[in-house]
Amino acid sequence: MVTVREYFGNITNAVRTTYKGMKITLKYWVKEPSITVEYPDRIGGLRSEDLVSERFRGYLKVETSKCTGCLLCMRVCPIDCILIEVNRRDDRRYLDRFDIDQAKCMYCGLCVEECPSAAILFSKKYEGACYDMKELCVSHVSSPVPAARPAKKEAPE
Amino acid sequence: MKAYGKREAAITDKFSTQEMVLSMGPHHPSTHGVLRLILQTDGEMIVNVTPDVGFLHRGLEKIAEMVPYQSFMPFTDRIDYLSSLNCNLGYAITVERLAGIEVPEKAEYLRVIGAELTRMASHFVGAGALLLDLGAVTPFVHALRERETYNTLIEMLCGARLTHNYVRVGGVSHDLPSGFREEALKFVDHIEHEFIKEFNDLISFNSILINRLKDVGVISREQAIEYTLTGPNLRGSGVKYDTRRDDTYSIYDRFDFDIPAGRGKFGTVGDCYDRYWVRIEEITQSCRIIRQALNQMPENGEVRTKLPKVLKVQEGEIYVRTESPRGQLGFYLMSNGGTRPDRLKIKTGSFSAMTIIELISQGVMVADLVAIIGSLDIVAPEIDR
Repeated sequence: MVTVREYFGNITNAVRTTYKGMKITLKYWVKEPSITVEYPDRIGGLRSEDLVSERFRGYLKVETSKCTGCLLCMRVCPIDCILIEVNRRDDRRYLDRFDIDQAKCMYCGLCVEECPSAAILFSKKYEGACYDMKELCVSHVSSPVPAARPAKKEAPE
Repeated sequence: MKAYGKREAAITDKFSTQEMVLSMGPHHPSTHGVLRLILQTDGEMIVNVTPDVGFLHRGLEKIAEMVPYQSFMPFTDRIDYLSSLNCNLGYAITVERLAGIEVPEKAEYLRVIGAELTRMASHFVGAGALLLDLGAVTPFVHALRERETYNTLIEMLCGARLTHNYVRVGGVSHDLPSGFREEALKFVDHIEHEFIKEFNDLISFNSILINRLKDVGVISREQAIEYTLTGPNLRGSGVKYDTRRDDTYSIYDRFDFDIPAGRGKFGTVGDCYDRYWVRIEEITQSCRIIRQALNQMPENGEVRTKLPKVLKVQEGEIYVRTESPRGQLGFYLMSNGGTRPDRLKIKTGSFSAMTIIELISQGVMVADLVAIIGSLDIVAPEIDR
């Protein structure tokens, strides 16, 4: 059984330790500036993209003029979210299709590492809310683009 | 009907009650994910608990058989979303040992720094979530504030905040960014000298919390070993076993760190408080390792071995275990000499922790079960893979 002394001892102990904790809470309550930050779209006119780090992995962007159509990114992608179609017409290779499904993409960065001509890169964009899932499937080639010739060292033609 | 105290037995003799089957989860805030526990209750006392796992099964082991060795790395992030870098490290070491790949010196240091930072961040959430389940919201917010600094640090390092995918087979993806070393040292100093003390004053030594956690969910030394508990849950029962020291991997043998173990700080050895306290102490030890690694790390050097685009691993099999924040993370890899694994088996710490819930939850109250789940630091995706 709990004696009267223990009973009241417990209560005073609880009050004492809780007071100690509440003092810390109080310290943060009156402290300026507060820890909570507002959503980045309101900080001094900066865009949310400006606040992320240099290596941030956001939406993928493609510079089709640099792309050689080697299909390395498509093959390395673990979830097959990149679809490239390359066709040969009049002795020239053309990029007919370069689609990236941003809804499927898990931003692992394997394609960016593989690309020999740095045509596929990460942008800093990460706010991708939209009304239709189909909008997230980004097509980077609207009309056929001639594929860039690979650098001489890689594969001499 | 077992494991009742004397007082409870006397009560049940007088009032015969009907047993009721109660489903806790799959969407219960204290189950840390989609996890279902089937409770057989007698009033507020628990007679039996049956964990029903498998809601988050994603078939990662099967996916491993369908993608090349390097391409499986992003999937290891998803084994345990709170400590993705440790899972990356475990898988990378497994493939490297089987394929006989050497890792550059600097990459080893970067791996250890990343892994220990992640361990700290994981324990912030582990300890914070336990307190949140018990009704203390403020300490959880304090812990997450520190995790935010960690997120910024790791974003500087590899560009992602949750699923890092930083470690690669044969090294790491990026070298240190400029300013990282200073920021990391500042963070580690802040945690070790300021945050831990403040956190302990705020909640750890609060007598209400101590009374809530002590002598609840006691796991004895023998039971812990018998049920193959690993990680902080094992050490909470007083067993000083840590894979980082006892089956060393990477370069952990170069660092000086202690292994905290439960010693019954306020109650019995192996109660919920001991498991909680081991996590708090491990944060300090991780700080020590990071500081040593940052000071010893060579300034220049390669961070990644040149490997063929499609890696071929010789025929054979291997089992590698590493220490993740939630216990031992084991990868069993079988190769038939091709470009894809023949079989990959993942063994995680949370799965072992699930097995013991049935044993230690008999005869406790439903509210204490919340404390037990929280103290075992279960992450549901890690159980199911």
